[in-house]
Amino acid sequence: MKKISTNKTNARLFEKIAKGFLWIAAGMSIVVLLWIIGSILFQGFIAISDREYPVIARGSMTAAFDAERKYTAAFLINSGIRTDELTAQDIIDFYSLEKTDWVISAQDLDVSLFSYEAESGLVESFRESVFGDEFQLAFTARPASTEYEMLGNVAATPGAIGYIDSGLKAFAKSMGVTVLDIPEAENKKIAIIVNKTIGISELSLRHVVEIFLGDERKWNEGGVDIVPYIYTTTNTTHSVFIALMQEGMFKRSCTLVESDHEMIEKVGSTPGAIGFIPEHAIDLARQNPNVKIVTVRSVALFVNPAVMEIKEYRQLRQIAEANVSKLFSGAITNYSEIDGIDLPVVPILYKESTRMDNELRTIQFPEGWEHGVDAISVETEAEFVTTLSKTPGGIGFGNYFSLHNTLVGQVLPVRRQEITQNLTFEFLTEAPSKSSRAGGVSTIIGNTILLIFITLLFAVPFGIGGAVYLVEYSRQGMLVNTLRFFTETLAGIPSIIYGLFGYILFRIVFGLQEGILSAGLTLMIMILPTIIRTAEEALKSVPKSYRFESFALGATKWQTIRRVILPAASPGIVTGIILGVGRAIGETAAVLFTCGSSSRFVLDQGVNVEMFTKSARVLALHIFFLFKESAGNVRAIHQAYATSAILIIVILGINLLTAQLLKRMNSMRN
Amino acid sequence: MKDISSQKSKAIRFREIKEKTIKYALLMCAFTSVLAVIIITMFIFWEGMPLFGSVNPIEFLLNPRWEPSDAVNPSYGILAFIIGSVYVTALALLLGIPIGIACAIFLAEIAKGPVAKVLRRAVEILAGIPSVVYGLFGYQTICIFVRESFGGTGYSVLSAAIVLAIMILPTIINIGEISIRAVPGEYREGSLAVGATHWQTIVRVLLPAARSGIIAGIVLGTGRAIGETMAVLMVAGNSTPIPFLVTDSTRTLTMNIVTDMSYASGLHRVALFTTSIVLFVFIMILNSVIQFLTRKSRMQGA
Repeated sequence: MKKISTNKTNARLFEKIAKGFLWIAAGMSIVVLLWIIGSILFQGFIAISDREYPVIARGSMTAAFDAERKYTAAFLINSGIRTDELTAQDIIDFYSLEKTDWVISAQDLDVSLFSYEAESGLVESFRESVFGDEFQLAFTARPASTEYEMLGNVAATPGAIGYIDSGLKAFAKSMGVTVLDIPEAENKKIAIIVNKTIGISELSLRHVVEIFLGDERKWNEGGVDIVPYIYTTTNTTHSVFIALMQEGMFKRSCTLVESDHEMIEKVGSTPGAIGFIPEHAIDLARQNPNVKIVTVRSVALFVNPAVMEIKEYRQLRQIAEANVSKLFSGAITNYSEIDGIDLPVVPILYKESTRMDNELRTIQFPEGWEHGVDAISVETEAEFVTTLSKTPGGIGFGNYFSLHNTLVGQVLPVRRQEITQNLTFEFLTEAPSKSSRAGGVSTIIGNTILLIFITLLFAVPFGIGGAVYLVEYSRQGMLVNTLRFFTETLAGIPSIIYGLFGYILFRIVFGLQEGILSAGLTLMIMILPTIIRTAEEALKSVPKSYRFESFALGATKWQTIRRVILPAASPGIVTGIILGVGRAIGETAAVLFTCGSSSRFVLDQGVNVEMFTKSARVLALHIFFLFKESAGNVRAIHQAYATSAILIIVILGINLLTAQLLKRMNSMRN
Repeated sequence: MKDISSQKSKAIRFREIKEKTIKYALLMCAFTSVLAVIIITMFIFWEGMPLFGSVNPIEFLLNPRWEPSDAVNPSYGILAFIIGSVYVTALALLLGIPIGIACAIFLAEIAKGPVAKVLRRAVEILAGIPSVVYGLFGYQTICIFVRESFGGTGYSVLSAAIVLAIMILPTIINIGEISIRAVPGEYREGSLAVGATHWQTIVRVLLPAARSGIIAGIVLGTGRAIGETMAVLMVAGNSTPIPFLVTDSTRTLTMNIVTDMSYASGLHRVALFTTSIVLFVFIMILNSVIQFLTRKSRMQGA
């Protein structure tokens, strides 16, 4: 008796465990779904990325072009640009024409540069920080070692052009060379001279720049070759000349304004504009709603070259932002602790009493700051540079604007995690551009809607027609069985086979171009089984009495179907159509060979016959193409997530809608 | 009088013609799927068969070397991809079947009210998620999980199998639930009446009775898994050698078609269509099995 009862308890326990397993399995399915939907939606709306910057996160409203704050400027941009923050590197890239569009703010917008007409210490020091003392001289330039040699060469060579100290102007004229009239050169006490056979007396600075860059090769169409002369030894004239050339470069690439007021107005009225103003004009700029002053991050972490050397397969390439302060507080004493080589950390800091850039000060001396034990103190930027280059393991903060040209390759990039909004309103309303590095998906949404429309245009009549025949006309038997067999078979064919079939039939046999027509017809065949099956069920659920009553009133079969049965079955039929849409909208493999990849909207040239056979990217394809582009383009993955989030939302909407329809259908039947 | 009747008969005849026309138009609609299947089959074979003019079918199927762009000695062997497809699918079934059947039993026998509703809705949504989204999810989540827990690059047989297991879950659950529910009530009542517990009833009576339906669901899931392209393409690594470990990357039949299609020409392109014939034959065999099983389960249910 007792034994039986234990058996019973055991059985009950076993039963509980077994049922527990079922609960776990069911729970797992729900968790997996929530995980997928959650991760797609989360990453669709929020982009988290590890990014590497040459500068450190904090930034200030004004940027100094040296550590001592001799000249500071505030950078302002047109308020249509979706960023509030720039790095010193971004600004340098813009003004040196390395970057010409606003990809950093994910906008399809060209950069317009603004600068001042008049030379000032501010403009000069900014320019110097953009170009350093670099100027790409013409490949064909010939050498001269002294000013007299330069004069002699220019006098003797037809087509020659050179430059001398303006003190030698009179002497140059006596030698028979032409001194060109260039005001900017005059201001810098330099004279541009040309061989007198050329026969010109003035030339714009812009042209001189083009000549010395090597862009201009002849004095005029079919004329004499230009022979530029440059100094091989570095003398004062040469460095002044380089500064003059940089001035010319700026004048070539920037729109020039005369006053702070004009700068603010012009930047405010030009899309994609960036300009700068002296510190005292910030309040003036704040009054204009069309411009905004951006925060500029300009403090970088400079290291002795030894720190970034490769030894035993180890190299310090970048540093996590969180670790930066640890280097200076003594928490990290050796670079090997942060994946670098075995080398002790030697912090180099400015003395607290030094006059320095605010940003530099707040980074070096934050509140509650405790100095590293072995920090070396320096007082000037020059001292910082020499100390850093003498100290293996040396590391310190510096102004990126002034030092990036001097300490090339010694910037230790800082890595930080950034969280930004991903699926924005602009993502839905802007066309993709710059191979998906900027813009959104508006055109792709348009293409998708058109593709679905075309698919339904074919699939709905054929699907419903087929279902009506199966339910209303055919007698059960061989024919229906055969038809059903083929419909089932069709439903089981993988989408890639549909893709190949569409490719052969529409592209090869019919000779259609890739586009929404070929893709739509392919998808139509694919979603046909879904529509037929649901429509069949819906038609079957219409009570027999409806038919008899309609016939009794003298209606023909077709009238009965059209007026009585189809309306009664419509919720079910619509459900099938919506399910078909859900399938077609996410389909990728089937349209991969038939739809094309162009991200332009097929209607961008109006409604015409060609719209059907124009390469058109749709949402699902877009995700796949973005995935393929994602190597080295973090934004592509973010965009893929944002696009997936759109699809998921549509799918969830469809699910909700069909559930409602089915509920209504059931309540009607009851 | 005669006039009226002839007019009437004209109207009737017109009506009859209209009705007949509509009937045949509808018949044509119904035949679209038949036509589609026939044309698809025809084309795939038409484009793929010419390969066997220059490559031995046995060699095509059993040679693991796929180097169609080799200028000197091109080789068209898809054994590695067949193994890849089978490997990935088998592993996916191994992972998906227990959970799938458990969920089906749960839905049919245990869950009531809101719990059943939530799970059923979840399964429906899982079925609706596009494969390219599964691929993206797998690429960014499952591949990283596999890399960190099992080693390798993460783009592997196992990653693909996990993604596929999730993708075929709805098929197995839906069809499983339907076939368990289709088991006549008397079976259940009879079993409970002779003193069997609920669990014993499920395992000894319901599952055997619903067997062919459940198997049909599994076979349908197999078809889905073997034919899946985008999701697998994004997570399986796409390398041509035969995979051995679950952490090896692989290329399946479907991946082979998509990968090379964009640039292949000549015999290489034909070989891709031949690959699709192999895939197609696989699918057709599975389809016939399903049709056979469903008919069997329908007859059992009746």
